[in-house]
Amino acid sequence: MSAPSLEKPEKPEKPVKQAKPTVRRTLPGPDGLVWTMLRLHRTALWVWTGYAVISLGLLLWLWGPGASAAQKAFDTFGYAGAQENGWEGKSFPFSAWLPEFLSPLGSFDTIFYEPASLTRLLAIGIAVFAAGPLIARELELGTAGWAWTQSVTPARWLVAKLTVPALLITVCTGLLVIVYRLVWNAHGHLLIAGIGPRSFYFNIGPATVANALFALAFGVLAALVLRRALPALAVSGVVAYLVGALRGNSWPFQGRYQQPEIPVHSKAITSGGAEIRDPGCYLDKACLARHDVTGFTRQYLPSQDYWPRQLTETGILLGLTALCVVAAFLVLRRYQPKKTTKGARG
Amino acid sequence: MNTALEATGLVKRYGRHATAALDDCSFRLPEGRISALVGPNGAGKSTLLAIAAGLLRQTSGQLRVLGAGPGEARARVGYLSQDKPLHPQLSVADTLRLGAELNPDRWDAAYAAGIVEQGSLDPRTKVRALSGGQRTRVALAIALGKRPELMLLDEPMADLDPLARHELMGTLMADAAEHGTTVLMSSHIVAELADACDHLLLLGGGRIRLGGGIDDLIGAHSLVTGRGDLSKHTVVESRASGRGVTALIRRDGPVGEGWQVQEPSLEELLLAHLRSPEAPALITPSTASTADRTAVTA
Amino acid sequence: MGEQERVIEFRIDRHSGVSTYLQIVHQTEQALRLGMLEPGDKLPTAREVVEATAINPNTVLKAYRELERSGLVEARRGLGTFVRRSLGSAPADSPLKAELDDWARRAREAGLDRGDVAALFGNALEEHFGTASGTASSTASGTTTRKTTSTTTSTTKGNA
Repeated sequence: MSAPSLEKPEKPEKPVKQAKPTVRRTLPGPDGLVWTMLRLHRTALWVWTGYAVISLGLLLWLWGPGASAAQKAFDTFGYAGAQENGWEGKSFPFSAWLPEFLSPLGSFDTIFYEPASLTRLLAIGIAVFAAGPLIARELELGTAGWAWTQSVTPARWLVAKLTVPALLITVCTGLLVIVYRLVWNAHGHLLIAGIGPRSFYFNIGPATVANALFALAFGVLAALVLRRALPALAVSGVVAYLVGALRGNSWPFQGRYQQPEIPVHSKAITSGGAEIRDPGCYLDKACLARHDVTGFTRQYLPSQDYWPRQLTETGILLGLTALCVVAAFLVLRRYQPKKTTKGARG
Repeated sequence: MNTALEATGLVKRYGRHATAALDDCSFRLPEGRISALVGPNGAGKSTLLAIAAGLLRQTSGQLRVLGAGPGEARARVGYLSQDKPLHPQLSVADTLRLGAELNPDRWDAAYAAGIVEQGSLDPRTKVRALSGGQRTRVALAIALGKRPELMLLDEPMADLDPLARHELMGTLMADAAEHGTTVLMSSHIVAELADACDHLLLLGGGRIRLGGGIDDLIGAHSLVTGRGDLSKHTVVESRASGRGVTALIRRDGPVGEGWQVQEPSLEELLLAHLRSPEAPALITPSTASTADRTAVTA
Repeated sequence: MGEQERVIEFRIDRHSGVSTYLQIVHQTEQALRLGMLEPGDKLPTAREVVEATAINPNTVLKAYRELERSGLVEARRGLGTFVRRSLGSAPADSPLKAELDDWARRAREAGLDRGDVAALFGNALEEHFGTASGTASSTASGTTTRKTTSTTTSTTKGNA
């Protein structure tokens, strides 16, 4: 309405802006934010898939074909021997592939003995990823803001950032827990190899999945609050570690019932088939021969407090996760412009 | 004429005690304009654009973007920030795909790809390997690929060589010519603006100092040399020149006898206003916010 | 638009002091005089011009409207802007052009330099056609100012 010369006669009255969405996909598969998530964090996806495949593979191996080999090793050296890295994985095919300095990793103990630390490491890894590459790095690069100036609201962006990893974490960690339980039920004595069965046993269950989800939610929240990758990553790593250290052992709510061990029947078997006390020979073959030990047996009795404690722990972790998620959305609102009120509209 | 952007008493303060980046800023940008947003460093240009893009929250006041609140019309608004953030690990082709996935209802794939092709870019190149100009081209392709009705650009051409600048400005102008896109771009380079823009918003001290069609604004001012009384006009800037003065004035009625009158260039107009921050603001009626217009008539 | 060969390309000189839209008008007129554009030819679309020159689309439209007002071109809705009539009677291959060429050659042989020739030609032009008007040169600044003033006044009225 300024100078009359500023009209554009060649242009239709109202420019046609309802551009028909042109075909944008040539392949079937996920689209929108899901595609975006999978494409942006492809490396993390590969690492995660690798972790899941390798640990599930090892567990399935131990569940099936590996069980007898492991049993043979135990029968040779006893549980005590296995604990002491007595056979240093020499009976395991994959230990031969590892370089010398990594050979302890190839031992049976390190792979199967400490799933507690395995899942704890997993949670720390998830927390660090969520704080760093998933959120804070995008805030630092400005790509988060870039995504928000496309047709995506910050809230929907955060929903995708949370749900896609949460889904993958739930599925993979859930599978891991299920397979661990399969092995536990079939050859529980192989998993424990001696000490701290409770710590192990209580680390494997629905709370393991909840723990991983909490790590994700806390990492996201830390990144949104701190806005820088390095501090966010450090804080969430430490918190995930602390929560892991509390798990299975020392939750405050456990009170005076801290870590009662699972009842266990552990015996050595002589050539005559009699079950005697484990003489603790370790690698000493002469000692094993002197006691006429030809094998070992171990049986865990069901633990009465497993499910109550497991479910309480799961509930607490899921509650904390939910709090973190709510807090994350509240913090995200600080990034956004004020919503105009209804009255101001039109 | 419809309004693309309208600010009413917009205030943005970073931190409680900081001076306001935007201080009671009010204006209206009619649809279809190609407007320059100029002002000294720290005048609030980036702040204004980021609020309009839905990335920052104003402290108080109101901003309407295409008739909606900021952030509510994000599908119809294109935004190019100063640092043009893109994912460095993605290829150009994947970056375009990302644009498609993030703008599912409006994406024009052929158009975006065309803009990238004009720069003879290999779609397989990683974003991190692109030059500044190529990077801006990709970012511009995505911003235009969503077919925005309002395009916000923050110092779009600042770090580009003259050739890339000319090409990309041509691309932008072609889009405006074809689709009637409203454009608001901040820049330091007055020469670049003089040819491309038909509208001007000069920000200073967090407010609009000059606002309106460039022809109208230039037409309202005169560069006069001579001697005599200028008191009935608004003198924006004056300096001694021999025995008389050379002054940039905002005319109120005809200039008296004895003055040599010239039309100022856009650059002269801007520099005079930048040098005289105390000069009163001029906002042409089409650019004044509705609230202000009502206030004037009331 | 694609199959039509672009017959004219505008060159915008940012330092000429002549406003951009007048440069387009003059260059089109020049092309018409030289027969580089003929009736029925299509002018490039505003989009094509601004893509090549990075100027404001309204500037091109303003220039085309100016040309339309003087009856040189016509806008056909949805099709583009077409040349309606040629300008002057001196197409590039006319006898007058040949004579002028001949004259310029002789002037050069006579030892005149570019400035001398331009001065001579300018004098002749002024003698036979009167003083140039309408161009926004520095000598005509008063005219320009008055013209813009009136535009502004009408604009303000239109808005009120």
